[in-house]
Amino acid sequence: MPVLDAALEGIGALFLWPAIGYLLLGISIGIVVGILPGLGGLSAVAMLLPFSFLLDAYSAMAFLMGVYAVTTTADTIASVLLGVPGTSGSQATILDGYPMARKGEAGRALGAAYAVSMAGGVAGGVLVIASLPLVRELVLSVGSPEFFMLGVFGLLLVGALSGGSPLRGIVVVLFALALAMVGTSPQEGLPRYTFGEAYLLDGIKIVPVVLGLFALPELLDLFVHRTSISRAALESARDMKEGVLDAVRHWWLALRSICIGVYVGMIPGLGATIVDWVAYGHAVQSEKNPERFGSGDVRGVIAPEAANNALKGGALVPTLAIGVPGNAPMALFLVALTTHGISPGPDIMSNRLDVLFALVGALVIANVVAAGLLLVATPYLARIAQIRGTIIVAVVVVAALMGAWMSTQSMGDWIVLLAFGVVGYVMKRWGWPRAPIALGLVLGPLLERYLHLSINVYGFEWLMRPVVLVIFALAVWALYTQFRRSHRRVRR
Amino acid sequence: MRAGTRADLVVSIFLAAVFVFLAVEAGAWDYRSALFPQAIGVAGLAAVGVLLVVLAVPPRVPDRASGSAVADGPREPAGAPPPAGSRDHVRAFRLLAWIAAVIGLSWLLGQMVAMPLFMLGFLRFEAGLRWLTASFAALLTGGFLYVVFDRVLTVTWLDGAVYRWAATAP
Repeated sequence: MPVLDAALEGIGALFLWPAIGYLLLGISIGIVVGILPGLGGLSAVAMLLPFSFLLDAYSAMAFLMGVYAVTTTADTIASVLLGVPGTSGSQATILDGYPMARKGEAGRALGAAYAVSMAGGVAGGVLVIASLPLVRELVLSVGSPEFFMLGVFGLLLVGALSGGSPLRGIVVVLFALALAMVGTSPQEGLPRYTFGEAYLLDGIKIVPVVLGLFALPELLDLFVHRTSISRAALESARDMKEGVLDAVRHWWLALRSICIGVYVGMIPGLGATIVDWVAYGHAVQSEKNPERFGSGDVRGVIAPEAANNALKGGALVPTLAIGVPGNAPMALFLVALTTHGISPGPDIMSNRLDVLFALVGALVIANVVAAGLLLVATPYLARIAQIRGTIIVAVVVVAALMGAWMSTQSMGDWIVLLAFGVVGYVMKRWGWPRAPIALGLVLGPLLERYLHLSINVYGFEWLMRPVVLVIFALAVWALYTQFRRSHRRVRR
Repeated sequence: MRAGTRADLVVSIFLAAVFVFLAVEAGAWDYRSALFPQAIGVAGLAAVGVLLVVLAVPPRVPDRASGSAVADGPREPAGAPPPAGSRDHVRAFRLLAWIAAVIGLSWLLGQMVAMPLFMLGFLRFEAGLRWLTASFAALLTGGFLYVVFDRVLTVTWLDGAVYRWAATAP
């Protein structure tokens, strides 16, 4: 499919009914989820994923991207007004955003955050398009052995970079691959590891697993800790013009932070949680008067907020190009894509470029619409965060149960949800990384398929292909550096 | 032994058992089917073995590192659990019990009854809303679920054991 035609078709489809309706619905849900502290884009995408299966490909992508793209814009409200992160990507924003709110400058902080969030989201989308020619050529020139090795590389990176201990991360990755093997053997079509349960014949479903691993532990936290916005903070969130001007004044910092966001997003495993800290750290190290950071400096809001939105565009690149999700929400996008019969890698790069453009278009539109909406309506929307935590919990429990039920509409979905909820809570409590499980479940079947394809076509000589060797060497090097870094940390 | 290390030990032993089962079970299959599961089983066992050695021979300096990165989700410190009192755990398990209860109730009475009942009970006893307000929210939930899931999405509902028994009872 010619690139220009695909762009026109994909982006054009977003402006047609019903895709545009679903995009706006997704943006609205994303804003509400972002404002509510504790619930992030991942939980929201996991809950809404089963509903997207009922939509056409364009509407599904618009809906999910609408939700996911804007959570890190709306989450600034909780970070600035409450001093608690709205999502995991806005933790660093609190360092200067909350002191600004206490000084009566909440509007300024929010205005700056919205402006750079929009710029970050748009720049991330533009970068995906700009990198397309190179990535496309690269993807179309490699075969199953390289894809297998890239998948292994991505999973090892995710495992090694998740949490404090690379070893525990790798163990979790292997456990996730073990879980991914439950179901039917792709070679013989015989049941394996199903314990005679008909529910498990199609494998463990990703939606209840992700809801259990990520949504339930956040709900438990929300249930345990209660927070509310003070009226004074709400009043100070009105005037945002000065903040937008701040973003323009500090455009160079915003641009550098956007580049950091895109770069971090492109590396599988380096997710939303660190990008804001990396950008914040860069701002403190590179800007004049670093002593002002931490006491209410608008630059401390600009850097993390620009980066956490730009990350999403960056994460799309490995997800779509080689089928290795940049982070856990991207693993869910892969599920949505494959459910609609679209495979990442060569398929999307050659046959379904229109869907790729639709995704990027939705990312850009969602960021622009959300920033505009929040600039106008923040004082009213912020009241959502005043809703009592227990009421939110009740609503989200019903939503999570119904979301899980939509997976196969059987009790097995709920049992998996509850079981992985307990697993997620324990893993979170004891510092075991959870993200590799979602990624491993999605990538497991793909890796097994690529491995058998490689053996069928090349025998075991595929192991000696130059690109495979290079990727293998990179994986070993990445693991070695991560282990060394972890060892040094322990010694210190 | 620290509580964190003890938990790591329990999880590691459980995972070792999983990997052994994975490899042993695959031993009965033909070579092609067994290749991937056995590779993962052996690799997993090796990784858990190293982890157990690390746990058995702890580093000289206590691990206070907070970790470098998390792919997604909140920052998860290595080893040391986040500060949480036992009352927090009780509260957390209370919510898990509520969820288990709504699942059990759905099996017994069907979702269309269980979900509004959960809303009513949870909002009344956990959120402290008045009976009238909680009842209104429960009715609203039932109506929303019926319209969206039954009429629009035509989802298959769980009938409930009581309904199935009543339908087949002589």
